[in-house]
Amino acid sequence: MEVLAQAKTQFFEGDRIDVGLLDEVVMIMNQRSGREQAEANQILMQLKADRDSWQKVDAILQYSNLNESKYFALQILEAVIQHKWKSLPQIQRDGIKQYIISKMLELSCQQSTMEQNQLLLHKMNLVLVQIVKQDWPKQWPTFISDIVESSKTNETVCINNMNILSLLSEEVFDFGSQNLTQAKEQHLKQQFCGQFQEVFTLCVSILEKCPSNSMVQATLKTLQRFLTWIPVGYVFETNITELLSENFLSIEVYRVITLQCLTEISQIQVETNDPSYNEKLVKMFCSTMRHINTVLSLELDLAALYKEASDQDQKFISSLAQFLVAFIKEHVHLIEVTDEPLTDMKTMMRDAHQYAIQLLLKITLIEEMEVFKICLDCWCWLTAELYRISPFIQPSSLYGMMNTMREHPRRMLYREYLSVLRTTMISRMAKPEEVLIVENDQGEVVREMVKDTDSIALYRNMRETLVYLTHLDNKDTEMKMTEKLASQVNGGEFSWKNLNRLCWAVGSISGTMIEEDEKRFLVLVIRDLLGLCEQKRGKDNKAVIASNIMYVVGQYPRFLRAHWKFLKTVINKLFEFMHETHEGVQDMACDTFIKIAIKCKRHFVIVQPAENKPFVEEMLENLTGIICDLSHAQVHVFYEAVGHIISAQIDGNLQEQLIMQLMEIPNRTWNDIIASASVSDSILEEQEMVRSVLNILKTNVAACKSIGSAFVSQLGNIYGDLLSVYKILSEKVSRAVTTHGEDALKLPLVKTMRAVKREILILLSTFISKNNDHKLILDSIVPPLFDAVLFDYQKNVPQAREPKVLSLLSILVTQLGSLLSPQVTNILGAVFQCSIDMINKDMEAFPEHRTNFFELVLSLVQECFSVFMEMPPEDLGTVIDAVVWAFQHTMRNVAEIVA
Amino acid sequence: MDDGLDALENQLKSGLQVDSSALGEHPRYSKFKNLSKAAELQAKRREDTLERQKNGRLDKIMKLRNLAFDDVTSDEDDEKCASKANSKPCNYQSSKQGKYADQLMLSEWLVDIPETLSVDWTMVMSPIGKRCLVVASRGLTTAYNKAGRQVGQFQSRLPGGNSRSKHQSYTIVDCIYSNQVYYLLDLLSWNSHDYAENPYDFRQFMLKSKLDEMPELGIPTAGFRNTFVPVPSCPCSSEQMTELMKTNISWRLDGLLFYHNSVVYEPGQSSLVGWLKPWMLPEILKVPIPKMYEMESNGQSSAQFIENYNQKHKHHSKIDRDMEED
Repeated sequence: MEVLAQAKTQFFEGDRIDVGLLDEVVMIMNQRSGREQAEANQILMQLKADRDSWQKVDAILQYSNLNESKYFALQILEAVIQHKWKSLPQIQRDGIKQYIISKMLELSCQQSTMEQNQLLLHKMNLVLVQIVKQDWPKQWPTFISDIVESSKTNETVCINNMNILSLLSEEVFDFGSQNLTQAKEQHLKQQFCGQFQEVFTLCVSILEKCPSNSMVQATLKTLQRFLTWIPVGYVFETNITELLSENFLSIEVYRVITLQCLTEISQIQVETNDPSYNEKLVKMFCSTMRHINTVLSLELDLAALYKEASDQDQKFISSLAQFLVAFIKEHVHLIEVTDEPLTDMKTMMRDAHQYAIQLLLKITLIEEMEVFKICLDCWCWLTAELYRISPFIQPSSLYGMMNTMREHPRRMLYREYLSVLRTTMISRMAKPEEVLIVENDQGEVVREMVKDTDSIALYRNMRETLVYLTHLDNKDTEMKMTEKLASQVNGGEFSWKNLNRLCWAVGSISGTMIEEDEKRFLVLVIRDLLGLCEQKRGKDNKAVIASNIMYVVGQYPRFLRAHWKFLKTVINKLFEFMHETHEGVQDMACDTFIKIAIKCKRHFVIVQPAENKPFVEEMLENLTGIICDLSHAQVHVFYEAVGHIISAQIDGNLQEQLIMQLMEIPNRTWNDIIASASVSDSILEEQEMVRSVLNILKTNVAACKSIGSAFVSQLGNIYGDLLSVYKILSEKVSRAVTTHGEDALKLPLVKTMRAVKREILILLSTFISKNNDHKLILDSIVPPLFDAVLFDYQKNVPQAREPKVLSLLSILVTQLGSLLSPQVTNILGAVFQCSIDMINKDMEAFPEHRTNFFELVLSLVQECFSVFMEMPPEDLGTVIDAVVWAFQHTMRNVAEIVA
Repeated sequence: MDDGLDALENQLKSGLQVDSSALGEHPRYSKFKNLSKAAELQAKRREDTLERQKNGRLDKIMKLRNLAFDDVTSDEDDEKCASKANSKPCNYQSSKQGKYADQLMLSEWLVDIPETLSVDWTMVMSPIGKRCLVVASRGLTTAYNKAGRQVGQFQSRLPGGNSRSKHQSYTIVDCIYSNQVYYLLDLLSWNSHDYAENPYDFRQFMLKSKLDEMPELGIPTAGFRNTFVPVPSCPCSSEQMTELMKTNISWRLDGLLFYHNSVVYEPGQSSLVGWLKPWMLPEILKVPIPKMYEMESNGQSSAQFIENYNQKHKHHSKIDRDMEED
């Protein structure tokens, strides 16, 4: 501790720093823990912040025995250069520059010191680059020639210089936009390009002479950085492509970095039509393939080898994949040989091309996701490209062989490779979107679609590829899938994972075949799967297979719509599964049901041939029986699904009847509860009752979501009672809070009561957002609503106010627009001041109220602006203050609403 | 013309089954099952079950106790559900669900008409509603569905089911729930006495006398909103069945259960419990039914027609593998 106290005074008083003391402090900082460390850290931070501390840097670098201290000194220096370089006197700047350069040369002139001080040297390079960014070219016009000249003196210096150049390249071209002004960036780029000749000559001469291993490596690394931006002339009008593709691929240590350089070259967008450029590219590719071929023969089982391979080898494969993909995507047309006669050149091209495609197919089999994604990217592009040559549906099998004869020569070229690709894609098919069942903040079990994740993106890409592949040759896709299915059935490849993948693949190509083919294919697939299900023993197996069958069926709505009897059987089977208690089966049944209901809804409301009434009626008559074993959440899905079906009924009267039938069960319980509550509202203090109300409301929300504006008949029935329940529960919650304090909000009963309030608001929000009958909303919904909800919001204790009130209001405002203008004063009067009071204390409390409140303000400003204009000035002032307040929020969503 | 679509449909109808013992269609009304074979198998299974019940006595009392006091699970159970809960978020209920899952005794279609139907069997009218296991213990009454999921919790007058009852007492009954009424089908335990090991007729006798002792069970009050009521039943002679079908009931009839009088209460499907839809009675048991039930054969084409169809087309599908399995 003494040391620290001493350091505190010494560091900031004297002109000279006691380097030994600094070393000790740095040691404490790095090796101790707890309070001591914190204090040491603080001292160092202070030192860093001290405006004169940079003058002590040279002393530290000179005398310190600790690399960490030196590193620390360089950090100080870097900050100075970045922030106040230009304010230093010229002489000091030169001093620093010279000092750094000489120090650097000192460290880098010998192999051994260079290796010892690698980290320090790297930091020094960075510092130098910072100086260069400031001084070059104005103050230091000769920088490039200086560095090139110094490179010629010594090998290790040269290596380090390469590192500096690559750092500079990174700083200017890769990250330039982040930390330089545009003008500066532009200027530096021009300067760099203009003076690049010298650097390039240096690189080429190193690569030609190959003086030493590490030097070549450093040069290749630097070159790779350069290749992204140097003028194309340097690449295509020099011998650099030959140099790279001929000389370095056969040597293991250079392979990866060389491939990375070649990848960069392949990705250069060449704008001229100069045939010599293309020739260079072709030669480069052919020679690369020739060299790779000596290392990787096509006989090898790459996928197996990859698993065992060293990091270096794995990196090699991944770089190779990147190169192949880059080249194929940019230049594949250059190397495709489609016409006779074959010249030597063409034979070479053809071989290279065939080898490359086969190699890529092999690499695609590797079970490493990142490598697979690289390849997939290419296949997706290639299949799309081939499809676009002639995007017509192929004539079906009738034409048989004729078909192949007339095929486009480019397609012919890939025919057999794509067939292999099909197998790969089918057996590796990714998982599609799915519904997850999770618990939300309120402790309720809810269902969520998985959104926008990596795996979904993967599924989409694979589906796209498979769809193109099927368009290119549906017979082959069909055959491959049937083969895979057969190996599931005969047991050879049966596993849940394989079966899932196959079925996802089958499901993904829905709609790509012409209807007749699709039907034949689907009948075959389903029959085999059914057979498989009968053959396998055990509920687990059967449940997996059944789920897969239902997945496939659900993916083909066109087929279902065309075959009513089959559709009906499927639906009845799903209803049967809704009673099956084996884990996951009920969920699967409900999910498939809603999926099919959405896609085939019309077919359930019309009278199908050989039926005497629409199926939906049959369904509603047996409703109790169908849903009796489902959980609440599942019942809600079911109601939403039936809602979709009902929404397809265009006859208003019939639709209303269906809605009444659907809602009969919840309505009966609702009426009973309301009847008892009208005798004494103490019934609404029973946990069981409140829960039951909550469930009824959720059922209503589910149905309303899918039925839309026609739900008005049902809502009309319960609307009055709904608002009464809201008021009563709200009072009860308030009373609980006033008598028991805030803790009351944690009681399960109170929580459920609030959930009911929230659900009522959600129901109304859902309904209003789906309904375009403005007059109805304005005349019948709004007055009682404001009556019940607005006043209640205001007089409630803040903790019990429902943020959903605010979002309901903004939905209302958005839906009704200026029609609502006369009410705006009311709305603001009720919610404005009390909401503001909740959120103006700090930036975090009541986050949901916060966002919803500002959303409401936003919608008001957008829809009812005139009202603000007519406001008394002091009220308007408060509104503007509120908006200004929102600006200051660090919560991103809040600030974004306002912006 | 329809490229095997019909066959596919039938395969889907009858072949796709997760639980091979689940109730599908009544074999008599299904085109593709061999009725006589199914009946033979059912008769055989009945014999087996009766034999097994006579000989082996399962240690079920311990199990029942365990059902009633749900926190006395073994350590093993706890561990199991802890690890499950960690690995699968959607499965967080699994511990409780597992315990009450599949505890109900369920029926099969009554395919084979037992010779002793009129003397050994009882017919019970079963209302439409949710089948559940009601467990009253520790001052709370809880209803669980077939899957063992909790579907309701409330105070009831069942011994053990309200906060005033003795702490140690418990009651377990098998019910159908509809609209705040629990229709009592069977009795597993009453006031800490276990009856599941006793034959059905005895259980029914006990249930009836308990209900007679406590008429208040059937009356809803503010504190006990849910009521427990018996369902009409009768011995299976044709006259008595005909009479029973004429009973005026305030609820909707779902179907008829047939219990063998000596069946002990066992979880899972039992061949000693049969099930028929009301409209099947005239044809299968030659019991006439009131007009209102005849209407309910909705959508089903005439049973006679199907039977003729089967005979005429000599539909002898493969032996029902699912049944053979047992």
